[in-house]
Amino acid sequence: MTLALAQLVLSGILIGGVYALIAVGLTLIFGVMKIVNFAHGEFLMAAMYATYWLQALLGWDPYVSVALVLPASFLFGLAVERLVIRPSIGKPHLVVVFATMGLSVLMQNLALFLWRGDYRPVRGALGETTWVLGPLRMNGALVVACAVSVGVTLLVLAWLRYTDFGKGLRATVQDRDVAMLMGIDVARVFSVTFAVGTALVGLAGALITPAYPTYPTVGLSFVLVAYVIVVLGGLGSIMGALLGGICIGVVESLTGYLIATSLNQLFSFLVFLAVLVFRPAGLLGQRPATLAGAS
Amino acid sequence: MSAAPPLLSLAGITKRFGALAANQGISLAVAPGEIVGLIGPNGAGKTTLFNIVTGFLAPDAGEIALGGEPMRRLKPSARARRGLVRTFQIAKPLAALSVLENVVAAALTRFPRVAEARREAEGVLALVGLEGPAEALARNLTVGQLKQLEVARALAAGPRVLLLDEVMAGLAPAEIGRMAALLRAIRDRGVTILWIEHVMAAIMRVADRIVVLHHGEKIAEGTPQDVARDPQVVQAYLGEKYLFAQGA
Amino acid sequence: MDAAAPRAGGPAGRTRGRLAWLGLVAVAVLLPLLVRNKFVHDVMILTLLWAGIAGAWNIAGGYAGQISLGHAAFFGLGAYTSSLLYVDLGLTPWAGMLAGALLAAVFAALLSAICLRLRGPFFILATLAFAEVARIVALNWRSLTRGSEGLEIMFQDSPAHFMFKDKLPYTYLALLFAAGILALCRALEGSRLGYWLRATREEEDAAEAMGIDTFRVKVAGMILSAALTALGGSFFAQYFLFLEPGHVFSFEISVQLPLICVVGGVGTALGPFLGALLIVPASELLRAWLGGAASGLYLSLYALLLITVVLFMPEGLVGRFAPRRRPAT
Repeated sequence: MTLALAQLVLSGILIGGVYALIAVGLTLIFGVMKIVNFAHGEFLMAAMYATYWLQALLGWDPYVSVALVLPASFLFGLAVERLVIRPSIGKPHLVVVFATMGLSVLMQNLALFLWRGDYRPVRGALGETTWVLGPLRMNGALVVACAVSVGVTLLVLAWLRYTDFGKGLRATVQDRDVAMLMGIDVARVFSVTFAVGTALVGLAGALITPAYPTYPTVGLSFVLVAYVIVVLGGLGSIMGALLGGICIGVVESLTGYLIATSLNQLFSFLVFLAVLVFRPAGLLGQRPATLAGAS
Repeated sequence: MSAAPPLLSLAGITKRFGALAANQGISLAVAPGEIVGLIGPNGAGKTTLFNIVTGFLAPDAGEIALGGEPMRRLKPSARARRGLVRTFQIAKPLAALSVLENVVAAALTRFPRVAEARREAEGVLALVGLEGPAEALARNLTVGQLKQLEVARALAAGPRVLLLDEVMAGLAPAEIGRMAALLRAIRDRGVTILWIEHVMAAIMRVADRIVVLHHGEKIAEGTPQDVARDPQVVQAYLGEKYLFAQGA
Repeated sequence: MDAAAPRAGGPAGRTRGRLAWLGLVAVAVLLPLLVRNKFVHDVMILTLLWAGIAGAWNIAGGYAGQISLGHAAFFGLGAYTSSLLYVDLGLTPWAGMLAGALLAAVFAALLSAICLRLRGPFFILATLAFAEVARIVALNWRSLTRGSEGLEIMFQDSPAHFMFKDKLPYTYLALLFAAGILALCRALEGSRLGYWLRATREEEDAAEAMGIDTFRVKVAGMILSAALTALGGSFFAQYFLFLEPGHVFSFEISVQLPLICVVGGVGTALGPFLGALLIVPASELLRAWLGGAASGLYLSLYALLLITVVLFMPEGLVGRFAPRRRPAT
């Protein structure tokens, strides 16, 4: 029994690492730009499809595809920021909500239209391998995905803390106007942030393809979890996203075993609502998801 | 100095933000009909105090009472309905509504019928001097007009104590004079005023009493003349002695 | 973004405005009688229905600024409540509708209690989650809702049971529904609640400082919006006579309502109508033309429209062509 439990926990940690990477991108964007990117899950989906097609058409291994998908995601993020996000900032909140939501629906349905709803699996070098840790078994691809995710997250943390740009970014988070007055190019910070956030989720997408097939609405299941993690870990907290991701991964793994799969999503939504209600400040976040009485 | 019991009393208001003590044990009593000015260098904790008094921020310790009634558990709108009304340092107009509609919205808290509220609002606008642009959209007003609108809305809400937050900031000299006259007119109507201000000349001239905050503590209290001469105050405002010299 | 103000142009402009209204009303009333094409009636009914429901969404989303992407929850709730009360208990849908509206009001109060404290995007996400929870519950509670098999209402030509053989009565009922909500919104604009909804939307802190209990106001807006949406759901059920959770609790519905309002003009009484007039017939035609053959294309175009409108014309048709201006007086 404990073995099964340990196995579930381990699998949970592995997938949790990937969830964390997705959530880090989301929380970074929210922390800096104060917007929720409703299309975040679709960016994941796009990266997964890109990885799939690179294999289907060129025979590339997904880990090789990362070399292309990562920068492509970054560029895609830059483009979206320039075309969709930038015109929305400063306008009523409604605009960025509907713009990113529209983007989400557009991408999902474009994928549906172009490639139909079929599940597209990707054959990765490690997708079918199982590594053994004592009595426990791990999916090779997931181990790699988790390791890379955690590594990249720590890199992001270092980037924020030690580079000049990172400091400028943190200043923008604290007070956008003051940052501008101090000479920080806030527009550039926004661009880069959004692009990095997109790149991170693109990376996550490429990494999980050996373990998960892709289909038009695959983004939805992952992004929902990402939202829960972001709120749980605290808005704008990278570390919180990492820890929260691991936690949620474990919880999901355990509950998936105990609760029927059809109700699994229901559980995620309920957890989400519960977190919003009871712990809007999250585990580590300084900035709660609720309205303060004060401005 | 009035012998009447204080209309607004603050006792031991304390608020910390992490290691920063924004308000440290601030106590203050405002008698009915007074105009009390609250001054202090930037970061002294003045707006934090306002936020606490009006219910936008919860204090770590301290009591607030309006006319003897404790305000601690009440949310801002409840306090406003009891007569504790504030304006905001950075004006918050209801941008998509007209000037008149802005004030009607406030008047509706006292006059449930729209027609009556409208009449009240028109009266307030006339008092404040904003009846000209009554139909203009609030988003199109000048800075001076926005400040007037802040005051008009606050008045329409029926304050017993009006908390003004830097209501003169950004005004041209002529507008300052008008605003000063307006504040006196408001007091003459029976409204008590607690007022944060940086435009020294105005506040020193109009206020009955001045309270000085510095680093979250009250360091002086008294008539404008006494406060201007207080060595602690002068030291706090080091370099701005000349402002006091002008206002005294 | 309000268009309740008098339009520029003085008395002559107002007379022209009134004539335009009269003309529109005449067309709306006479069209169903004159044109007997079933497809046209169908489109008319759906246009009016969605115009009304979008108008209901607008109360919370437009006037109060509480953007909900979960209104399908109320829609579905209304649809299932009246239908189940009829199918299982024989209660006439005319009464069942009201029960549905009441239930939706209760759920709106619940939603508000949980979510109104949340900031902008998180409120929206919470409403999304709420609707999804409703859908999944409806899907799995098979004993009650018949789950994915769907709930069918056996047709009977019985006006007392809100079922008519001919499309004409449905058309006029839809017209009544839409016109009713339009009238309600206009009345709301001039009412105390209307002022307070908009004040809360524009500057919540300032509204509180004035003495407006913003929480109560937002709850009131949400409850009103939910109840009216539920009525629309009941109508939908009685028109199509078949319900399925994936259908009535769908995200598509939750998206369509704000889309209609954004295109027409959020926060205006007329906006939802213009928006529906533009979008519903077009989407029905598109659906008929593209249909199942190119699934995904239809919604892609929808989404593209949403993005374009919201980026280039966020004030909607009303805001662009009949904005609040300083009148000549």
